[in-house]
Amino acid sequence: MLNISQSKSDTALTVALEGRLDTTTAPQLESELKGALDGVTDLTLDLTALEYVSSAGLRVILSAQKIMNAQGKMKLTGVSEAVMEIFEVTGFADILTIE
Amino acid sequence: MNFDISIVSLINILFIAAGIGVCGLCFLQITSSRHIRKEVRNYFQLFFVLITLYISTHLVREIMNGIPGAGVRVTLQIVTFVELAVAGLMAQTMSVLVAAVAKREQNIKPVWIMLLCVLGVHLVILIASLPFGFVYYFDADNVYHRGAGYLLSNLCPIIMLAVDTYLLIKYRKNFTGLTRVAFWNYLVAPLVAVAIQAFFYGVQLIIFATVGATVFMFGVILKDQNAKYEKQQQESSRIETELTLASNIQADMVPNIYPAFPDRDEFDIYATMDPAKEVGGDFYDFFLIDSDHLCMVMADVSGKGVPAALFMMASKIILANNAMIGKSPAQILTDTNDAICSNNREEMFVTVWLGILEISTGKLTAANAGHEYPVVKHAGGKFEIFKDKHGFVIGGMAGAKYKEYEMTLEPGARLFLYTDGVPEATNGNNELFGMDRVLGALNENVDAGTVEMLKTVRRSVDEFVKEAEQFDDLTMLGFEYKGVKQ
Repeated sequence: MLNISQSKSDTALTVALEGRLDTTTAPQLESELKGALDGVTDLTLDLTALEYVSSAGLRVILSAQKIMNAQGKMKLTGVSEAVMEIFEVTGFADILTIE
Repeated sequence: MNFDISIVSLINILFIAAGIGVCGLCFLQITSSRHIRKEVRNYFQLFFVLITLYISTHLVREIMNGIPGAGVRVTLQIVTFVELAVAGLMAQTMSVLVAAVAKREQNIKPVWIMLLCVLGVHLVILIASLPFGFVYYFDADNVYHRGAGYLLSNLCPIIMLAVDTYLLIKYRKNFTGLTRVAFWNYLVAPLVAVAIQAFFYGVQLIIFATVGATVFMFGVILKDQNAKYEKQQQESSRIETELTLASNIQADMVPNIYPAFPDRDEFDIYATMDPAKEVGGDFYDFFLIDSDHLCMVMADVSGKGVPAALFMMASKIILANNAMIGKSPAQILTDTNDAICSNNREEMFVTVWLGILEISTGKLTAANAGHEYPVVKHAGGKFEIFKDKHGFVIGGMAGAKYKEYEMTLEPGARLFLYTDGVPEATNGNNELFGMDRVLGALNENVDAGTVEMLKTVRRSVDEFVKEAEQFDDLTMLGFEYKGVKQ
């Protein structure tokens, strides 16, 4: 289960994720972001309510990071300890901006 | 009460009675047909109910027509009203059925909305005309007569039949040959019947034609949908066969014959791979680079199933090729990353732990590209997580650099490598197995051989997960360093 909520002001987009970002739910986030990132220069992923990220979820976060590298910046907020550990183990902590 | 039935009425009654029987049978058949799409099934059910209602009311009117009595009069009024109202609904159901069979579900809603409007008008006309006998009336002897505005009662069926015709023409390509014939037959047959029955006044050929055309349409569509279902079954069994073959090929891509190195007594190695689906993205690998260097790999591709399996094959081969030419672990990962990043449209990535052991000295050089921490047991110690330096996942970013580290294994030392499927095995309460339980299982017997190490962990995972479905691939590798005998 993954709930995705977006809030946009001008070119800043905040996407809040709630639940699990895994093989079954990652395609959902991928397709939501696909259309939503046009013209966005400031992307914030709010992971406060995110319990778990699998490798399929990391792939979508990485894709978003690559798109934002080209058109602006991206940051992650509210990263829990469990999710942070996944970012650290996979080396994502080095390439993501985590606040 | 004296029934006096003419031959014509008798024929009509027989037609109608047979029609009710046939529609009832068809209703039962469609209800028990599991291979037909749900919406098609539901619209056919509705269709048969309406036809039965239509011809039943017609039958009642046919029988009671002209029989005197106040009760008969009320009954006649009711059944005639229902009959005319249902006639409109039938044409409508035909429209949604056409749309459903043509797989144009988005058209079903507008058709319904349109119907409700037309049906509303239809009912208003019927109700409003009741007191005046504008559409139809019963004379003093309870004999049915068409009124001056009889044609108005056909407004709804005619509009909806026009919609049917439009849909049939617009989506003609969505129907197979016979289905198209059956639909057109349904539209045309009643008209032909009306034309013919003009010469045999009184015989209701239209009932015969409507029921006949409907049953024909039903038979054709049922046959068609069954054929589609069988085709799907064939397709899915073909895919199943292919996946089984793919699964065997994948299992044989990694070393899986043990003992792996029967003539080497300096070490022992054992690994298992258990994909959650037929094929998976996890893999392990081990091979001798030369007589003194053993390379060990544990890796996990993002995602699952066939895409992960294809990416796994490429990653495994590139890693092994880089390792076999004598590069260091960090260099192997760096070069593999660049090779994969050069053409990675799907943005897949793979986490890799790769170590090269100098067999004669026990010196292990390893590098980690975003993979789980290895578990190490030094001689005389317990199994512990070794928090090594982590680089970024392979395939994630071109130009990523990897660092390697060294450790020395004494005789008696053991390594346990795994993918996240092990600590993240989940039980029915959504609890994760966790690394503490992995270590607990391994430390049950710190001197266990490699096969037993993996069996103990697997048993522990199974006891924890119980009936819950295996969600992720489970891959483990156990290594025991025995050292060089003097």
